[in-house]
Amino acid sequence: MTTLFWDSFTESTETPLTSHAPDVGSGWVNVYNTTGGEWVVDAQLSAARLSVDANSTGIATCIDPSPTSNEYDISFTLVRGEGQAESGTKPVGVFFRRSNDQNMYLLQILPNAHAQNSEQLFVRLNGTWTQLASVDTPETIPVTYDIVVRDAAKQVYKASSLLLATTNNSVEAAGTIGITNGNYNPAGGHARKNYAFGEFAVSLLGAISVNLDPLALQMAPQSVAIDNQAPVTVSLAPATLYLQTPTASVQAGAVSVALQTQTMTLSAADLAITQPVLTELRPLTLGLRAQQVAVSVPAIEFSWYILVDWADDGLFMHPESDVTARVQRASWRNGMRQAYREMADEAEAAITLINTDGRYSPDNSASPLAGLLVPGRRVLIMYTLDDYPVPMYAGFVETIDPWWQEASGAYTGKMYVTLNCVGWKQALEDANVSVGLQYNKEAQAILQPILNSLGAVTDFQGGLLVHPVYGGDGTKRAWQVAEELTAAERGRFFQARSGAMAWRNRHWLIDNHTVAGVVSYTTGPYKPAATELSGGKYLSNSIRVQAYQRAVTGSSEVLWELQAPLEIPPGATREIVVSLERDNQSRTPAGTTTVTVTGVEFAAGSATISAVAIGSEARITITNAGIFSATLTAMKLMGVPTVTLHPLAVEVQGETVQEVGVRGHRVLNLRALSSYDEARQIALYEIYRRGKPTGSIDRLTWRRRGDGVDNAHLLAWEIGTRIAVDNPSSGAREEYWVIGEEHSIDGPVHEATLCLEPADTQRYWLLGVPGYSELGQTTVVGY
Amino acid sequence: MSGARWFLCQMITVRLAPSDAPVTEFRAPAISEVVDPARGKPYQFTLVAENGALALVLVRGEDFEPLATTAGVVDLFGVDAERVRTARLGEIARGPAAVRLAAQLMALGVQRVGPEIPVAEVINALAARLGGRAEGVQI
Repeated sequence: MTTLFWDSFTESTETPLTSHAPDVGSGWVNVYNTTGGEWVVDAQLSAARLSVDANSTGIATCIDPSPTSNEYDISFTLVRGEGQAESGTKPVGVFFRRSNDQNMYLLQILPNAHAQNSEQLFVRLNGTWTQLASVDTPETIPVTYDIVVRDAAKQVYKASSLLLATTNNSVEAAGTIGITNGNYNPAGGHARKNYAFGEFAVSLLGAISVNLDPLALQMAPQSVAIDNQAPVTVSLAPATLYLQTPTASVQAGAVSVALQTQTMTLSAADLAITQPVLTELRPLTLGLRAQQVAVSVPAIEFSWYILVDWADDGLFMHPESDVTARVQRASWRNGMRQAYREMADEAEAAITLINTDGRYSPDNSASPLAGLLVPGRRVLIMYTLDDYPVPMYAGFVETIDPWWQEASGAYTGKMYVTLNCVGWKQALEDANVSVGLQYNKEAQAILQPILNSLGAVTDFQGGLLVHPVYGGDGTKRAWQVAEELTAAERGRFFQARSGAMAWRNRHWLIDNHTVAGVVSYTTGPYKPAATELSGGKYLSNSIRVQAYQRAVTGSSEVLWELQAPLEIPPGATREIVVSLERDNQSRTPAGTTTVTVTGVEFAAGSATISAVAIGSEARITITNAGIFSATLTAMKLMGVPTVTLHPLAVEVQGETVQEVGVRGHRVLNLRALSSYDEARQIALYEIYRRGKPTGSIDRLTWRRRGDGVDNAHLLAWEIGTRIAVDNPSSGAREEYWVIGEEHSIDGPVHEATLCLEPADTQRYWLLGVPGYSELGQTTVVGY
Repeated sequence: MSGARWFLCQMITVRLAPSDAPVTEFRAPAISEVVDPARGKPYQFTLVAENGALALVLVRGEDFEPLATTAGVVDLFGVDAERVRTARLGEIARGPAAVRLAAQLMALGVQRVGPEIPVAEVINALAARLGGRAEGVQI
């Protein structure tokens, strides 16, 4: 550590603080003072105290010099000034990382008798104070505080004990450091003489050299018994070393010694054995003895839960949030509904609630939910198995539809409401995004930030395809961006049971060889209630894959031009968002990383103009600082645009029409794909998996008791699960991936339909793994 | 019961109006306004993370009863912070309480909410979702 500043406040006579020379450093500088007095160095106290008591005033004074780095330690002693501690609002404090009066951290200390807690840490960011911590400790004067300021944490110690710690780092600049008294804080108050600052020191982080005496690490004598020439393993257990400052403040972090193991060959003569432990070694015999064991199967507790966050605070704390007891029927679905689709359909749910008292009727002003029955409320469907919750669906209320059953039988007079729910797809289809130019990125690096910025929770795998150039081709819907990137990857994009938007690469399903269960129509626990088969539905014996090569041109051109005069009033700033187009107004979107403003002409006045490119748009800021109106008549934006070339197509033919009896031509228009090799591999793989007109199972349906046992597989099998089916039509066992799921609960019945896709039975190459690495025998080279 | 607990609560604007000083305002977690009856002063806390609307707060108190009825304040685990430090979710909450906890965590973007998940991992994930870090925080 390097001492930046140290003041012991030593003077022979009372001296204004701003005239006083510290032991290390240049001095003290007032940055705020409404007290009418000043800090003085009290020669008797050897401390800095105020010269006056003044209500509703304050003073703030910085050390000089300011720190050059933003990580430092502050140490100061609080002593009694003139007068005793009071219960009023008479705070003192120390601020740090103070860029200006609007941005800083502040440790505020109040008299212990005050109604508020005695020590509070605040951050002020752009003028807004936020309370980060608040603790209350007995007043012990004099007392030393240490403030450890790091990016990772700000810690305050009082008398060497950790008082509070925060990881907030919203104000990052090194700023200034200083002391304050009175109302230079968020809590207001009065300036008083009764607290004074004793020693005040600031140390900067520097190179630390620590010499550890190896003798300090000693082990207690160990007794061991060894056989001559037998290997002996000496192990050093993990240890943790702590460093301490002279003031006994424990520093953050610790030095960890990893477990070390060494094997040596020693003879008994090499060791000084204090006492023998074993005189002879006998082999041990381990065995098992059969015992009669009573086996009991505990009863499984299973329940459904359906919650609606009516208060829309993410806490589900409204008393009506748990609607389970009023559910008459609920159905929901996640994932894809057709084989070979990359993009999932909307994750939908329909929840019918008993509404005889009208509590769910949006027009019922007497309802305890009045005003809260609106679209957008978060919905969760979960089950508990032995009291542990597992999510099945997460979405948002789209519509609330009350309805009446025709008056008959047991339903006479019953009234219902159906909550129709949707997932993220609809929101992503509505959201406009402008993707700036992206170079050499995988899909998740492009798509995940977009989804997160829209508020979606994401669960992403790394992509296998690297996009040399992507984006910069106009404003699109977020769903379209996801579609382009997922289709090029040949991956999957769906909403998981947790509500997270899941993105998976093209190996995700292929790599899953674990069969979760075998569905048989004659034996076993998974006998389905209904089956939907398809024959030749997905046949593709002719595949055309279209890719789009992109490159960035080397020359700058006009991407936007002002067409009509623009008037900017005096003192006004105007912001314009413009679309960048190739060949100037050609309607071909152009993306660029930077734009240059040129050809500016004014008919009257003048203004400053700046422009920032955001993908295929630019934000222009025009500021007229003058006292007359400015009329802008001409302006151009120049930039190097992205060029989209003509599609590059790869066509692959599978078995002929004559061979399969039907022509299945498929075009894969992959807008995010630019590589010919990738396009060819995709075409070959599509022909491989879809080229033969085989029948397959599309959907399997089960109708089971919702008790956690009879429907256990319906709860466990989700999107990505691999199952085997003894296909009654072909007689052969076939394997499928679950790509979508539909559930409904109605009283005690749980019905589920799983949407299936034929699993790839080909084993792909896994280096060194038997059964996966014999090229040409058990595996083939894939893409 | 004295100790520290993890709370989720709304961020609010506190209007401080001491009898002897002008009214001032600052942002703080909602629990900062609630008085711990055993001490007669506001609860002691550390604001671990906040996203502008919601905050994850470690609160020290003698009597947590008033916070159970404070709007916009949720006692996340209902047990002392020391106990959850090494516990798993399934040991902390079961049944309806576990469902509500899982719903709250999922709504805030924490995806791993199974019974086998260490609570410390959940706290770290929650802090990260709210734009902060929970490691090393104490009160």
